[in-house]
Amino acid sequence: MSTETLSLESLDAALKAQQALVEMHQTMNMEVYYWWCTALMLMIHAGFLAYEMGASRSKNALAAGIKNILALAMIIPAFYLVGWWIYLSFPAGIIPSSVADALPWSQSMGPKLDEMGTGVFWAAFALFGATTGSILSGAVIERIRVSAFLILTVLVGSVIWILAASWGWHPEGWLLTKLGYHDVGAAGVVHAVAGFFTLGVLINLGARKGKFIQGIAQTIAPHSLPMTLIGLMMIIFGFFGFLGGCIIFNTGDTGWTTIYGTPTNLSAFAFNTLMGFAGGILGCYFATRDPFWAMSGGLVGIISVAAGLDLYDPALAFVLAVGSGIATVKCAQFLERRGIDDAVGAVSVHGFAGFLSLLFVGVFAAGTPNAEGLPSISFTGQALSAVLIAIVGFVPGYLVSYALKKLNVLRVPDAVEDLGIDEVELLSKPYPEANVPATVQSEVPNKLANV
Amino acid sequence: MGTSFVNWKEVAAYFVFADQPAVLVLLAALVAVICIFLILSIKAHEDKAFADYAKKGADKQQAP
Repeated sequence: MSTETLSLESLDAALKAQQALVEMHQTMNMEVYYWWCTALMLMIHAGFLAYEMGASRSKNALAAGIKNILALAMIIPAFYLVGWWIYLSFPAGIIPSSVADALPWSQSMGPKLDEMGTGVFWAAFALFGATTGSILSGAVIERIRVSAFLILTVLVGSVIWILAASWGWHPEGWLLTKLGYHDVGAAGVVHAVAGFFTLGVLINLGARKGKFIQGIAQTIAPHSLPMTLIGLMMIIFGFFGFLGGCIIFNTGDTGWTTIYGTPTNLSAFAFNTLMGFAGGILGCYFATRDPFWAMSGGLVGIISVAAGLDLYDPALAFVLAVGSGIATVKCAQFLERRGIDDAVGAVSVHGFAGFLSLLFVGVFAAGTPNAEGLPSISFTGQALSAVLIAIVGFVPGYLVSYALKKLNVLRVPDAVEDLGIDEVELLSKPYPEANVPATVQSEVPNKLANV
Repeated sequence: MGTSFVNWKEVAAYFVFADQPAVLVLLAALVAVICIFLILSIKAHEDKAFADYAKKGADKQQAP
């Protein structure tokens, strides 16, 4: 009898030890998962670097590159200082709750053995923020001052987007708890916010010299379209880290959930990310027959289905992405005809497609339940949220760039724009042994104007 | 100098200065100052570079 009791006790102890081991490994796996998501997300920034340098004329290629590199390097510390605190403090609105653990001098914001996860979550969010900075970066190439750009990119990358994320991408965010907001792939809180912020900046920044002649849009051809295309494909690659980082790896027996606590899995994301990617490329190519737009279409397609990646039938995701690709080109044409010089189509690709993505969820997934006690997804909730997110992005972008313009520190002088920022500010040339920069109007037709 | 513990038993936050909040505040402030200084220094560099270029252009025009 005694032996049997001892045996049961030892079995119980062994079971508890195994449970502790499993829990420890689950937590470690969670850390590993987000670590690699973050590493993949860095590919987005490598892609933006190539994409924007290629999209510039050669006289501004290095300026476009250094702007992108500095944005990443500035947003990370700025996000460390304020970003994480904003995310955790503002889910109820504009009055912060006290979250001392998220302040940069908290013990939680550093190596700590009993809080596995905080650092990798913070890192993933910091790179989401850096993505918003890169979205702005491409649109403003060849005429913005680097110093002004850094102010704007830190603002969007470590304050504005994360405020929207606190409202709409937090389990207690008021857009979710009051309106049933659904945006699993951050189409609204990252892409739409950054896209509309960019629009606000572009209005004040103005077009590149020579972009409009007597109101007619001209082509300013990229100096290396192949580099731009490769960069875009690298961004798509990085998106798998970005979207993987949007899923919650739960320990225990819960399994994968969305950031809203509803069940999902990586397969759902895989189906719809790839189908959206393919549809977007086809839609944009159909609308333009242009390689740059075809590759941008991959982004459009993914973003346009990102808000509902967990809910769509893959065929529906494809159809939505094709339609979004065509509509995004129309949006770019609309903006260009109104004198907005968006050098890479960022407002349309990220802002417009992100906005559409939120509406699509409202149309096709209305009635889907959220976590218990929260309102279901509705078109009204999605539409109101989309408008609010567009405003949250646009207003600070417009106001701060307006102030910088009034201080005459937003844009490089005309003469510098003529020669190129590389030679004047960076005192270097991207291709010192190559020929001179283009000085005549490109003969490549404007695809947007001719559709 | 800044270690916050002397053995690994019951350690949680183990980074240097973790037990000295005033130092952590100071370091965070230093990060902010460096970021702001960097932007200001870039602006100053731009002002100088643009002014030098404008001067060079003016000198060229005056040259016979």
